[in-house]
Amino acid sequence: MNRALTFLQSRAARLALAGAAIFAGATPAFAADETTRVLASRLGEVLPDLQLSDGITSATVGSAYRLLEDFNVVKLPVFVLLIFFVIFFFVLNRRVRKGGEVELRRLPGINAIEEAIGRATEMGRPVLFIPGINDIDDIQTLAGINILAHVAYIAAEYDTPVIVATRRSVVLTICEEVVKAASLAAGRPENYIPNNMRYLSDEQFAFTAGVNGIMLRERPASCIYQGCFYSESLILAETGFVSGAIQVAGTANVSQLPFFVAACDYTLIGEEFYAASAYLSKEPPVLASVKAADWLKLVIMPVMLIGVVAITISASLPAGSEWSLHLEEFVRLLKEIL
Amino acid sequence: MKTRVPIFITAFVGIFMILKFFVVTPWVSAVADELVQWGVITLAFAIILGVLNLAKINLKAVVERKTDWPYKAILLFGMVFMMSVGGFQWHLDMRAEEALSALTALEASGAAPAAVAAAVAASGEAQARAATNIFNFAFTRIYTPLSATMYSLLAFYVASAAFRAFRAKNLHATLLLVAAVLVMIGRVPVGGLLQVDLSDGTIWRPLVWIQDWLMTWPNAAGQRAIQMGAAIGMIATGLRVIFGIERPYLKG
Amino acid sequence: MINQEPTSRMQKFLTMFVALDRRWIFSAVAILTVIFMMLDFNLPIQPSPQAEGMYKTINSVQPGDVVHFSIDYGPSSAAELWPQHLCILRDLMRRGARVVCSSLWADGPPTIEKGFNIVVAELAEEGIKRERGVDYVNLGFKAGDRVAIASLGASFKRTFPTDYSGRPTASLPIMQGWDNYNDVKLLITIGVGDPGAVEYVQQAQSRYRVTMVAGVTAVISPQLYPYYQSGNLQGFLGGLAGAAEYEKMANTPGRATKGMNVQSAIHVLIVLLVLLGNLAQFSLRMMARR
Repeated sequence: MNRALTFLQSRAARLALAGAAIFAGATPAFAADETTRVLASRLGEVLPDLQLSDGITSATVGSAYRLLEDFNVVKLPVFVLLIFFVIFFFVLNRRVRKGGEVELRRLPGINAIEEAIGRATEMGRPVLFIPGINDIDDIQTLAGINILAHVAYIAAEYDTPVIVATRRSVVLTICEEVVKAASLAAGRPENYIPNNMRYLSDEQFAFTAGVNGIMLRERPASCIYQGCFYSESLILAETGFVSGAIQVAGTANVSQLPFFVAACDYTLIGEEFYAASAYLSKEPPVLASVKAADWLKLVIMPVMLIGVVAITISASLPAGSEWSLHLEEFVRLLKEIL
Repeated sequence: MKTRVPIFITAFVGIFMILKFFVVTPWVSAVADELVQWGVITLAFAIILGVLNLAKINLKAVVERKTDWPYKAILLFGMVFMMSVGGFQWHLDMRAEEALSALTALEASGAAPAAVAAAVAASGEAQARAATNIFNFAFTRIYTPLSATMYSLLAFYVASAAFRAFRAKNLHATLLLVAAVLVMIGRVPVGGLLQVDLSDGTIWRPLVWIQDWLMTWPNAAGQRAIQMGAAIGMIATGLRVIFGIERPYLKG
Repeated sequence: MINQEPTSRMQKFLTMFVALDRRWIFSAVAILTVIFMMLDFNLPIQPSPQAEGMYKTINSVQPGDVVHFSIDYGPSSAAELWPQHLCILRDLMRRGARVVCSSLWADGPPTIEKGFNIVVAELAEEGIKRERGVDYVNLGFKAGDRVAIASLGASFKRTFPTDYSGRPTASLPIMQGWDNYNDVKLLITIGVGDPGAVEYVQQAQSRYRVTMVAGVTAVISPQLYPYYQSGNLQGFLGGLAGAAEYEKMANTPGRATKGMNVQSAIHVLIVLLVLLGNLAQFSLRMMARR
């Protein structure tokens, strides 16, 4: 009995209880008000005035339940994944800082960005960069601007001008700062040319027509499209092809990927686009975040695999059989939790 | 200080927005909504920066008669023209609204029928003027056809890009080529012309079936994989920005 | 081998064809489009399972059911989406549903007005009377993309205090007895991109479990297959072909059915060009080996 009480007062038991409480209270499968109430009250009934540790009683756990009412239960899986990601990031960042290596697979599109700037230098023509057509509140625009920082840095080292065309005013302002900072960091502040930072129009196709005009009149040797694009993607990429430019695109907009793949020399697809700045900067914390994303996938994949196997076996068993029903129930529960 | 304050603001707002995503507490939502509103207002005012940039670069090119200056002159003319007619439209809308308010007030005060009839006529005229003016003309007769023309260029560009890109250079390119041809034919009615009468009396359209199979299974699987990968990449990029790990705009 | 100096006349022709000037392709597309627009015939249309799902869902609507019909496109993509918009609206209004239209795109509301005006006039000719504010309403445009959709989940009346013509929504007969997605029978979006179908699935359908179908451009449609398989969408229409399939099922052949002739011709042209391009490249490679 004493041992049992000691166990209940231990840190591990408190954590387990808290975990169970969170799961029971926050998981949609158990989140019906009735169930939560019963579970919460039972904790008090079964373990009245239990001293879990100094000042923490079963009643306190009950109050913790009420706090959980503020939590959006539908988003629990996302929250758990976010916590996993943060833990992975800190572990990997520490490892990288201590001199550990982070291995990332080679992406031809990343090398292509450097080649594209090199080619513009050889030809004595500018590089055209477009950070997508969405505003700064789109994460793809931020990812595009991160890539622009590296493009502007390499271009400044090579003494090659960069033209940036934007559809949004705020994006223009940030791009100006980024190119200015990158040119300064490369030791060539004169490579930042204010007239090359251009806002064209908030209107989608007016912007597209403006960029096409730049391509055909100023003949940039390389066109780099990194950000969020919609129907203008093919119009831009085809015009870039006609102007004879090397083209490297990157977007997470799945619907536009086929057009970029068909018309550009290289395309960074989805997560490759988000990871591009890490590849280019090679800074330890940034590399660690890319690796943490890979580890996160290792957490997600087994869950997916379990679901796929369960539903496949369930479908191949005779309909209505005991095991088929069990598996169906399991898959339903899995879906509910996720 | 110059770097730390912006990083602190980014981190604070970012973490708060993440918190808003996970909790349903009313005050958190209220503060987060307020922050979003601030963002929207800031973005709206930033249009002035864009207009100034556009005017500065193009006006200079026109004045100095640089290469292609006529294009830049047309651009400036277009901008000033649309801003003017937009302002005029706003003026007309205000007049129409005032006339309507006056009419409502007259009706409520029980004024003489003649006065109400005059107010009805004035309001009707103001509404009609607001509805048919040069702004609407510019929108429907200039902007709409120009937008539609740019969009429809896609039909031509898809043809030329497909002709150039779909070449059987290696195994992957050949797979892409075969899938593209099958989907292109199977997706339109002409693909349904190839029919096979099955023994049970039903008709099987092989091209339509293959197209549907390709879109439903390999396409959906690929879409899911790319979307999931992109979502994780998005989380990583978002956190890098929020925690100030990646801040290219603050390096200057 | 393409860069090698072509020796025979055949080789010269094949080299030229492999690098065919795109203006020839553009001309062929333009000529075929004009010719097939003028020809008067209809190819047999086979509805896809996704279009069938859409048709069945829309036709399960009963008189008086509230349907939120979000029009999320502007004039630029009307060529592809207007036929979908029109045939769905016609079906909904003929069935006597309460059609509540809104838009997340600033240039959407005029398109909503145009749709209502046409369908109401058509139905009036058939002797069916539909009244603004009672049977249908145009709530206008709401900025904020995802936030606006989430806000509809809480309250339509608070999100849209007035309709497009400025009347308070709270006093409209069509808005009585319901206020959020819990009471909406069906959610339909016709959209060209972001915000559109995917955002509605994430913010409205998955949260409130409202029955949903969507109409999108052909480019966006591959993105919707995962949502259709997972049951978030009961069906969807992809581009002009989707609209033609719907017209076929509704037995109201219109602009989309006619457009299928042109689309078929252009698809066949592209396939022929691709195949001939590959054949020419292959022949050149063989000639170079010899």
